Amino acid sequence: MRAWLLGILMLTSTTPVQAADRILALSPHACEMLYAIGAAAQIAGAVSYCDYPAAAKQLPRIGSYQGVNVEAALRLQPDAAVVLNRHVKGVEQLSNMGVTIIVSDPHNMEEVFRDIDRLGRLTGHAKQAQQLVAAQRKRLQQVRRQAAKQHVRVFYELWPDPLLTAGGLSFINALITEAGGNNVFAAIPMDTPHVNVESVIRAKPQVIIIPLEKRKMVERRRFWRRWLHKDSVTFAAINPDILHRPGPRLIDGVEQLQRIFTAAADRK
Amino acid sequence: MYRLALTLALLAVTLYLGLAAGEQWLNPLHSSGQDSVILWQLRLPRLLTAFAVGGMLALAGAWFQVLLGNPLAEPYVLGVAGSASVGAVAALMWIPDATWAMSLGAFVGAWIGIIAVMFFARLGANRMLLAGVVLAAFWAALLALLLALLPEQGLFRAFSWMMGDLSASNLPIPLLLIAWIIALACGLLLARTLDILLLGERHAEALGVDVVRLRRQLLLLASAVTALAVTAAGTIGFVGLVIPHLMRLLFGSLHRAVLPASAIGGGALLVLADTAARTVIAPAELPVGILTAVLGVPVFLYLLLRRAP
Repeated sequence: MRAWLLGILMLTSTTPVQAADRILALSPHACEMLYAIGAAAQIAGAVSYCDYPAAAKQLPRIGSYQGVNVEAALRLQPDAAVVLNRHVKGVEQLSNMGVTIIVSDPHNMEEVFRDIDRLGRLTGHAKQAQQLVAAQRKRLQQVRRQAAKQHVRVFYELWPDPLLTAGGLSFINALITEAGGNNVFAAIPMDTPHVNVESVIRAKPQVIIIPLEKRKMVERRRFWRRWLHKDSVTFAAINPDILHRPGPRLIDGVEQLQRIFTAAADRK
Repeated sequence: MYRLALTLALLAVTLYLGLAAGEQWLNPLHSSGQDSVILWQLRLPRLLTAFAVGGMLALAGAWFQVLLGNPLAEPYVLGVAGSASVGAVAALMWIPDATWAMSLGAFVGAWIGIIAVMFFARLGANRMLLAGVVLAAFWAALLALLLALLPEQGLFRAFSWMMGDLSASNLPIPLLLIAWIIALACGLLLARTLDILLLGERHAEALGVDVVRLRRQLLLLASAVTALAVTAAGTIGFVGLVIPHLMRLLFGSLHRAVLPASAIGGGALLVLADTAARTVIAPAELPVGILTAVLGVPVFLYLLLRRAP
């Protein structure tokens, strides 16, 4: 038993000189990035919520993004781990055991591209990563070209109860601007402020975006229509995973937003 | 007499402020269109909920302080808030889609907590307090367990509820106001007996009070009121502890004065706190539980110093 443990220790304490072969994806977006650059075979383990693409559901689980089970992680003999930040429980221990820690917490499209690139170099799939980034950049430019000239007022209903939205410091605020919208709460210098119904009504949003997370669109629409005239506002549902995970599908989310905003601007 | 007039004047100012203040100042006496929708359909219901909940918490606090003969007692001391939180979070876990689930869970949880405490009611104030505190620790542990297991999306809701959330009340407002009136009426009926109980249990018994029965009635009444308040707005701290003391400092310790003053003062404090919560960083909101303490503590400490012998 001791020899076995020692063996693992020795294996994990050798710093990788070449591409990392056994990687722990400790956030859903890191997992998606690795799949997107063709490094799927190098993912040794993942955390809960790493559910895309479908194959990712089969990966061995070693925790959630609040904490990693160090023993389970070491048993997978990882040489690198991609984490959201160094404060995730267990990460420091992994680092002490010689696992290379890569922090990936992108806050805008540019940082998403940068991290895809970094993971490409880490895994020896630099070329695929560059191609992916180039293709995504092209799509982003297309979005910018097609974005409505006249920005529409947008309320992003991050969570209904308490009523949370995307503030000026949030990632989503930046995406809304990118796609041709004006976040009505952009002036709040917070990430996810709690706002009240009154301020939403007063802001007169033209579009309400509802990232459906076990929420029923019908209910939310009925709720808002008690206060807002039905011709003055468009409702749009969006899959939260593509907008809330700063990964390779984020561009899909931005494109969707742009289409919603452009349509709303045209209707006016 | 002038104190009563002062209280009522303060109440009127508070209610006016609660309606008028917000992201934008509105005139309740003169509004139209969108503004009147905001005033009467959004601000008024929330204000009335805050008033009833604050008043009930303060009443329950006053009762618990007499019942347990302990100035540190407050509505949550016997674990009713803890068991209500466990019920609410459990409901959030198992029925995440329904908005009423947390209220129902809180109500059921509160009553489980009450029944657990009732077993110890005949043991005397100190033992009941001890049992209540231990039960509260037990509920806190269960709550921590549930929070650890709760999916992340539920955490927002759970934390917001635990810090007190008046924007999400599901209970009909007439029900809350009627409950406030009934609670106050029961309080006034018991006022004389409570004054006697304050002299000590021996004296009370000598004066012909059935202490065991009284304690059971009082426990049930105070707990039921607490359960309703918690069901309506989550666990809002501080109002129930400080308002009764504040009212005793202002009006003396006779219960026929303390109880109505607490019912009104508690309501006013919570209305004020909620108004501040909606306003200070508008259009964003703060949890109301922070404001009850920030507004109430300085006033209380000031009065405590001034009245010190």
